[in-house]
Amino acid sequence: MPDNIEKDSKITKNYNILYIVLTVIALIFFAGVIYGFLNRHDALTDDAISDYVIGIITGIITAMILLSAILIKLYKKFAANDISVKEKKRRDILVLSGIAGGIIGVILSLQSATDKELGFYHTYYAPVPTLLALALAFFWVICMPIICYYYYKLADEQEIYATRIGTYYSLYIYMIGAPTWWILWRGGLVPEPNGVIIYFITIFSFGGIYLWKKHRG
Amino acid sequence: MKNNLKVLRAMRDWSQAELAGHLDVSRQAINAIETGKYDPSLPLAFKIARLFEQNIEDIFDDEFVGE
Repeated sequence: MPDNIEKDSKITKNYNILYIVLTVIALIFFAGVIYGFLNRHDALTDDAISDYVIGIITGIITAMILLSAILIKLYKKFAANDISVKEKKRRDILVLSGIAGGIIGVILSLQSATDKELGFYHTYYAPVPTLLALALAFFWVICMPIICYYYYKLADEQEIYATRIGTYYSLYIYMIGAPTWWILWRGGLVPEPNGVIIYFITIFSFGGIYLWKKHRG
Repeated sequence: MKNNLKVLRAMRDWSQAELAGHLDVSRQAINAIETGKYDPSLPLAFKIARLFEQNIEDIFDDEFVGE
């Protein structure tokens, strides 16, 4: 058997994807911290923000700038991988979808009517302009299936397998978790089931299981 | 399922990405097959066998012992 130098650094490439995902989550988290704090501050007091808090926010923004630079570097490393045209197209669809999701999130946050009574759930339940609601509904119902169709047309069998397994397990998590929460609520033990939280638990479960099956087996 | 895909690939001095390109699948698919974490479909298994000019049974081993 001839010696063969392994040209692929499997572990490095897999961890690249993980680092990209974690960096994006960290950026969203920090942005949410700043936004949430400023919102609460406006709701509770008319006082100016203290120098101490301004310092903390400046530190967080600096960290976000550094994370953004790291994200760009990670993406360039990831983009330089020797991958096929199909994989590049799939990757680009994912990246563009992520950016579109981020833009939608920012627009929703800015357009949501301010309602201090809603507190933490303000972002999820506050009214939005009717036209914006129709535009987003059109995007999700019409555009998303088209994007998904082209994405899965480019997928190979291992990608479809990972997606199928992710779907199975996340569906079971939903089928078991949601009624459990519901019945415990009816027993007076937990707060009322929250549809948005259940949605995100299902989506993140799918994402985690899919990524595991795709990259770790 | 055990297989000697990595050996066959090494004999041709191909990277996983290069083999993936020949088979029109992703590099992750090749990695998952080589490490035994994913079993290819029949069409893909036949494609692999034709590419390396071998029988499927010579590449993949289902570890059947017999009754």
